[in-house]
Amino acid sequence: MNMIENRRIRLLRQTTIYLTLIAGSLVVFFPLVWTISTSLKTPEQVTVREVQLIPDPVAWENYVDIFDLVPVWRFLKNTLVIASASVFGGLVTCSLAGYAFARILFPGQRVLFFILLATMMLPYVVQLIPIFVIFDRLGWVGTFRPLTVPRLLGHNAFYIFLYRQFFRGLPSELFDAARIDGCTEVGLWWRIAMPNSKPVAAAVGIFAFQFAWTDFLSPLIYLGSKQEMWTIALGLNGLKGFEGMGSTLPMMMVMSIFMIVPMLVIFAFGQKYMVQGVTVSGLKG
Amino acid sequence: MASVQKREIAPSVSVTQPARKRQRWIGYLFILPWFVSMIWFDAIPFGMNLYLGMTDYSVGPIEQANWIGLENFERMLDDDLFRQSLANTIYYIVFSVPLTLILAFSIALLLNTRIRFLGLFRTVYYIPSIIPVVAASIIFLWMFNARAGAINQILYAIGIDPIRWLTNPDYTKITLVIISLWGFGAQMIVFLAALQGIPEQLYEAVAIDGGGLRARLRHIVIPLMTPTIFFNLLVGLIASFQVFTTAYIILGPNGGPLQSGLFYMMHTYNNAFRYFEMGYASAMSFVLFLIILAFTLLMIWTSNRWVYYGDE
Amino acid sequence: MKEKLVFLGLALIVMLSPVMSPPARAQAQGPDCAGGQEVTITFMNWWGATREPLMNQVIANFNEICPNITVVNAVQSWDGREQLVATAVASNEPPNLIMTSRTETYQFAYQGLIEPIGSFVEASGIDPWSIFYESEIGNQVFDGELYTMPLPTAGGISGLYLYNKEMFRQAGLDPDDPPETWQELEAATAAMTELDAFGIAKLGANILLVNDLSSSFVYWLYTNDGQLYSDDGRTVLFNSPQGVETLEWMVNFVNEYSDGLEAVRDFMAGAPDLTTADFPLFNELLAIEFVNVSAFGHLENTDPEMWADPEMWGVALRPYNADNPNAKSAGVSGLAFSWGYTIPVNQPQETKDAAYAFLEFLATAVDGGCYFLFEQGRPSPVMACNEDPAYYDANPYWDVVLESLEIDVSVSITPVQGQINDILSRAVEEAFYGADAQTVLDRAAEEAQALLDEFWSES
Repeated sequence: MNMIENRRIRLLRQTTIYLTLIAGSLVVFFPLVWTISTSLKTPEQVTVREVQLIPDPVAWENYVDIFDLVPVWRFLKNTLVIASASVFGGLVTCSLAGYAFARILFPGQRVLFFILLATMMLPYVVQLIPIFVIFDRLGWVGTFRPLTVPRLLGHNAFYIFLYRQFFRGLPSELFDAARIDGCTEVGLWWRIAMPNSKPVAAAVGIFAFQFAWTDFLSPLIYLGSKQEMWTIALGLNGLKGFEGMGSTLPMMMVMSIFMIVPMLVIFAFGQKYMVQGVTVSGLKG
Repeated sequence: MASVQKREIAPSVSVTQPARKRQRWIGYLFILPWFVSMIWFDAIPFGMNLYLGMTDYSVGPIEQANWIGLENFERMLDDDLFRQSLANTIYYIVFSVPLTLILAFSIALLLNTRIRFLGLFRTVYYIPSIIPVVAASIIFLWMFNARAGAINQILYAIGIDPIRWLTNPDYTKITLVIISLWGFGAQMIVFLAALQGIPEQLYEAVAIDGGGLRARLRHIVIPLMTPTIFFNLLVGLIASFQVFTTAYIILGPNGGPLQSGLFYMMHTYNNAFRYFEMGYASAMSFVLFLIILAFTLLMIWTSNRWVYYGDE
Repeated sequence: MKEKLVFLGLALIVMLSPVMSPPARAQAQGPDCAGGQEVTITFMNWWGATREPLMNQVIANFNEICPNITVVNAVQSWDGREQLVATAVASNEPPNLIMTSRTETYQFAYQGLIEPIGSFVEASGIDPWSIFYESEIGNQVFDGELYTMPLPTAGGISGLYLYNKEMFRQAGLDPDDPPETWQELEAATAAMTELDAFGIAKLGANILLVNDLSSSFVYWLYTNDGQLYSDDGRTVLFNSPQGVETLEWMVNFVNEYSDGLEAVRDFMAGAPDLTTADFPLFNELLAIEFVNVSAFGHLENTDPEMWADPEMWGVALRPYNADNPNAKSAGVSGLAFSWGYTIPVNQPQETKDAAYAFLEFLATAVDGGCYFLFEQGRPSPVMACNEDPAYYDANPYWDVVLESLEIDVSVSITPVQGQINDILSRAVEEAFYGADAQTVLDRAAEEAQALLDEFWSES
């Protein structure tokens, strides 16, 4: 192969990739720009029909005034509690379950796995009432428990399924070798499966955090009456009045920024683990 | 390697028996927390729902519901909106699921190359997934606004008449499909994670054989990604059967002009929370479960033809 | 002997003390603050954004009379409201006082989930029927029992329109002679509507609530001497000749003068309410909009310049059909919202008493509901409050507002009204898309009648 032609082709490829990514970035970045721009406007400047990206004058004070309107720190703290439970559940409990489905033979494994898949198909909108009734009779309404306990128990079929797919794709030799060396199942999970699945764990961690951070409906019905326990998603929507939102839209966008930034940070941190694994030989079903 | 193989070929009975027994109960232990949560938060509510589907439950404490047998299910057969909402949902799924998948896959491929600022790019492409619904819906409403929205302004500039994206019943579903593409982020992340599992050696092997990018894609990436594609397809299917929040915000609780955007879950929601017909809604929800189950089984059954589980 | 006299004296004093104590305060100022016990009640409501500080002030005022009752102002976001209410009443420990729409109030009353307040009212010694407008308090009665008291008005949502005087002048119309009849409305709209390549550039009159076609239809029906139901609420009457005539007029109006339903929807989309600065009426793009009485507060907040200058804007009554000799301007009360504050049954008696005490204060007190509504520039369901001269100073058209309250007619609804609304909306929309008005109304009437019959047979 001609070295110079090779290099030229690679340069062309690199450039197209860059250009495509940059073009896409502009599209994808725009909503964030709009959100920031609206967060710096005063209510009179809010025009939902047209786009005026640079407010004039810029209402920097919105970011200070928001703390008088909404107990931001408390809401962030509350959301962090729920998010921690969600992430722990995702990284530990779900992972253990996924490992068992992938790598441990036990009677009824197939049936249980099928049940796992089936639970993903239950429409949540109507499940809402029975699940609420269960928590209500347990006396857990008005506490964090309905939001943390299921997560800690690994109640998320999606993550378990995802782990299971990945763990099955790991080469059996790795496990067999360690097993013969006397490793326990837990050890196998901790020392072989997890370290080789950093990308999946990172993905699950990101999802778990994002879901807990943005979940609105469950916090609403379990924490609704107790404003001191609200999450930021509730705080954000709480600013919406029922006869139109023009007057509070800028503040709602400020809250949106407070929601977005932590998630971006977590993602930026997590995506670092999405690097080529060395001992992994491919995803197998 | 050889020594390991030898051991595999000739297991001794006395070694494997106790080892297998030990495996059994550990397995149960690993899934125990999930199992407990499944019983409490999936199985029991499912049973309750099934029961409520056969009552006239309206609102309030569920103890007050009265048994009416299969009446709710009979009612579905006469309900025009039941049929329309199901048709709308299937139309949406047929377009939204594959398109979102292709978009997510393409972007994941781009974000898996060796370029500078990779982390930055990846983070930027994650942004659509985390814009709060409140902000996103306003942006969409503006974008698709027939008079002042960006899309129509651009179309007009290139000589196409303005399209009534949100008020013309023929266009509302297309608009919703386009909006759904915005949610590519989750699938993109899964693809990104999965792509890390392809060993470098395979790429090198193709390069040595003289293959370019297209060969890499065809012979390595796509075949090895079929399990993940299957995964995302399945999850995407299940999720989009239940979609309705965006349509609710953008078109209203009745699905916009001539109910063109009325989805199955929206109709269920209306019955549950706006008409206080929760028994009927529970019955509808059970039927949806069966439909999703049927589609899933179909997908799994056909997956054997195209999902590549092998090695090399 | 002496002891007997002392005893008699004491007995006399004890017997006479109620007579000798200061007389109970008139009107609503005398709720028995749940017997003086320390109680905390959760008040679940949706008065968010600018109304939250007002409600907090009302609670503070309440606490001056009943310092022993702590009221938690549990303001909620509007999103997810229906699910929240449904789960709240399914709970074993529901909130102590819930803000409910009229349909919800009726549904919960029907299911026996909320407490009738008749006995509380009697014990408190007030007479709601002399405090409130008849239609306002009548809206909160279900099956002969009173369940709550209203706030804000159920009326005043359909009888008025707001108009932009500047646009009238620009079109050569007299800004102080706004349309009073359907026919005048048509002429005015024709004069002020302009189209462009994207649809409507300027609209004379928006006669619809673009996302609530059933209410739009019903509001116009009543200006054509039509009725939604018979007075006992058992028979559907909207497919009468007046109904068909109304629907045909609406469809024709929108098609003739506003380029069709889709054009109007697109025009109103994006800035659909009076809280955004680019609402078309504030920008000389829309001349006539049918509003509810909250509009004044919004106008004051969103476009204070316009609010301050009565030469820029005006208020008039909803036009009626001049071709129908029986028709006159009318408003409809109790079809939408019509908020009440209900007391779930599932709670201890002390909190019920406390909830009622607060309810009475909120609904009837001068520094309760009256203050709350005055600050928003809207009328109160309490007759006496509306005579406050300060209203006249604030709003130059206050007499028109009061007039519209008087022409409000209360509709008798049932808990199935939610479904009937949707049925009617679909029918009206079909007419806009070309279906025959009589056919669609008849079909909707049939479906609605079936629902009503089913409901009445079961109750």
